[in-house]
Amino acid sequence: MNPKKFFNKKLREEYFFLTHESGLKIYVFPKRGYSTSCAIIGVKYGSINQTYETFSGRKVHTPSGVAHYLEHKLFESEECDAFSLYAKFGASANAFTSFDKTAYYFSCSEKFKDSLKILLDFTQSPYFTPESVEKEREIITQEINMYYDSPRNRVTNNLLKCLYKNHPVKNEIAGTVDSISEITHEILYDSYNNFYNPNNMSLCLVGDFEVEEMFSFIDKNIKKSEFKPALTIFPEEPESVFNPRVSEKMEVASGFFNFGFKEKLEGEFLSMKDVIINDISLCALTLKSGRLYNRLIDRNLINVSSFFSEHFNGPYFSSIIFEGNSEYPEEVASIIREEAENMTRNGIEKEVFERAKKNVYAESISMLDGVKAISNILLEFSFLGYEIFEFIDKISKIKLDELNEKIKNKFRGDFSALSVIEPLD
Amino acid sequence: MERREICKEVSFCYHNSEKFKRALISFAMFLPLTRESASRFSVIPGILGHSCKKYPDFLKLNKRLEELYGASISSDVFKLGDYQTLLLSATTLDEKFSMEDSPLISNISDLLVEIIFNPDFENGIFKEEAVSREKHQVVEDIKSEFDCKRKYSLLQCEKLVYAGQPSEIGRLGEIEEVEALNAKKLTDSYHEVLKTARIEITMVSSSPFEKIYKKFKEEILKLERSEVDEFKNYVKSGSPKELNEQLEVMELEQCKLVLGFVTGVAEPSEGTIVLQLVTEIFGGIPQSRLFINVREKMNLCYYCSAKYDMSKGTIFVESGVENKNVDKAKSEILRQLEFIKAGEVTEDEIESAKKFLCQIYRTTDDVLSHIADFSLFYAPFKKFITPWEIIEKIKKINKEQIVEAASKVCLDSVYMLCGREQNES
Repeated sequence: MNPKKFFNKKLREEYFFLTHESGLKIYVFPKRGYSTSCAIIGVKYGSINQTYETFSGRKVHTPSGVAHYLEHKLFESEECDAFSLYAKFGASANAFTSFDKTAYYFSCSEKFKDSLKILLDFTQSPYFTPESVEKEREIITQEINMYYDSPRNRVTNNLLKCLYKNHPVKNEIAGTVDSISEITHEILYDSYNNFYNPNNMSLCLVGDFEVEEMFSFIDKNIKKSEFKPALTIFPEEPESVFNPRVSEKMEVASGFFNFGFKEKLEGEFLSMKDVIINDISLCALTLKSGRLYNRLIDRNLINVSSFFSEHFNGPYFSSIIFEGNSEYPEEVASIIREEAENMTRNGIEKEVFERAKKNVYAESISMLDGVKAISNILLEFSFLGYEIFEFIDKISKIKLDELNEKIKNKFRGDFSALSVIEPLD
Repeated sequence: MERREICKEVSFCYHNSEKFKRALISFAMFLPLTRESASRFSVIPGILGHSCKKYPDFLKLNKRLEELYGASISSDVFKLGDYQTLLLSATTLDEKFSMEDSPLISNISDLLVEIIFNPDFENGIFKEEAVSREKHQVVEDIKSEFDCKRKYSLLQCEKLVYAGQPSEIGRLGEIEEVEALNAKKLTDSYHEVLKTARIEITMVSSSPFEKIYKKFKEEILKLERSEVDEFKNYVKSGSPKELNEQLEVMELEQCKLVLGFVTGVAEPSEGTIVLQLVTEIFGGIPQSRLFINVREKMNLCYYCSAKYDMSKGTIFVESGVENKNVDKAKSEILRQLEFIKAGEVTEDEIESAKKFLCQIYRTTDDVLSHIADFSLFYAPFKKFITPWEIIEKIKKINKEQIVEAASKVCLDSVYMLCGREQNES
């Protein structure tokens, strides 16, 4: 095996990458002097991969929540569950399902290879019975109810239902109590067999260990697959939003809002450069020294500690979302719209651009602070096809003219939606 | 780690680390929690972090932070034992990684010193406008504690357990008292805090600390410090004559159940280490009694876990269950504790808990904020211990000590927040 080395002189960091003959993408990032080591294995399969065509040409539609259900069940084997095995080595393990991926990870401070073996074994050997799937339904129902009681979750889910008419990103990651009632062990096996394929997965290791030893250990513990992963079918999504406003009442003391701009996406993902341009432009718009932020806080329109914005994007979806607590969500949305349109119309000033660029640059370097953070960003970038050092270098090279040209069609008020949670009367 | 006493009750603690891309400097002030002072003190970190004499408004201060590569100065207020802790914390990119090698650490420490010791006064007092804005922010933060029902339920159970003690007081005080504050009163409180608080300054960086230490020392020595009162931390033990129980009903899907236990063992007692192990076995590690039985075997919930607050010697068990299952869950939680008390603990469980805890302490040095948090936690108790010393102590603990420590865990209070319809049916 001959992994490719990536090196950054300024950051004094290096890592190694290869695509294994099974198709698995492997990243090994040595961090000398760290006690923590961690590994994460991710599958390009999340809640949005609901409808797909298998390698043999069969079309399948699944209820929402399958990827998340599968994540819950995969820890189990015929004899025991993976947690009890990890416990023997003191490793701390968990998993998550997002819209576009499922990931399993652990961190430990000793016997790394033993824990890695557990991770590779259970993610390659599913075992569930109708009874065990049935038992898990009650636990997941309680998890769904927990999310349902959270105003923060509810306001975001409602916004996505406003922004998207057809794209499955509008559905809750864990599904609903109704949708998970349709999930059977056959559906779980079928989804597993169609997506948990090394060609559709990445493995990232970070810690103080020998690189070659890790690659050869992984090589011995990966099964090859004769099949190719299924292809997800995404429905046509109109450019416009489905519903410009939604409001719901909950038992809360302060109002919650999510305000989002839907963006047109050419192709499956944004290019690396477009992501950087998005990051810098959003940073410029929301700088604490900027007009938007100061208009919002001068009149106490938002709770400062709750205000947050992000570019929310994945396969065939992209939007910019602002969230926070406010008693005046309409006014907040109107100010955001005004300032965003003002920025796209007049362009970003040079001095603001330089400060935003520095902030985005520092933020991306901070992604490399700590082994868990590195493993997460390696996985994220692996699925997007980005290289992390190139990403950081590109930030400093972005030019203002180019950025101002690119943002002309962004933040369009006619493609925006507002979701609000209000206190009960 | 190097620790220096600047004057009585004021220390500077430096952790040299080459591991991070960022550096951190924090300034913590510990003050006894009292009903009279909690509200007026809680506004101080926010108002200081908003501006200073050199950068006399939020916009100018933030422009400066943005120039320093998005450095941040954050403020926080939290309880640690019966202390109210006011924290100002600065984080910056390590200057080695900036685009043009700016002296970022020196600049951010200058700014932190300015913010703490040279506030933006007008005629010797805080500006009315800043006072009014910060009061509004604190009131919003107090209100928002109601919004996350899991957090709210925990706070309610804490109030039951700590009734009659200083810890019964909320970390930010009371809304009415915050609203009644004026600029003069807040300015007096600011001077009082700097004169009477126990102060801990923490720096984590790869850069030398002497110059920064000197800057803080100069400012501290200018203060006319008063004698700091001997601190009393109330620690409750034993079963109450009558169990404190409270039920609230709201519009919710899921009941939040919180059980509060007292142990009589809090910092700086050596006994906290054994009780950490008891808590891990009971409801901490992934293979804990509560996870295995309440979640996995009985399928009653998605989460059921125990957390030990070493500063107060209390254990809180939290779970989200269907209303009809509350009694079942409660009985099982208590039954599992009784098993541990009766010595029905396996060597495997003890070993797993020890490994899990050792892993946490061994990896403290790998996360920037964990280093500062660890140091800060023990500071008010004047206990100077390293993670490595704790690990050595954990390794020596045997089953008898665990059973003996478990016998001190007594149920004190139960708080339930139930859904309306479920409760009425």
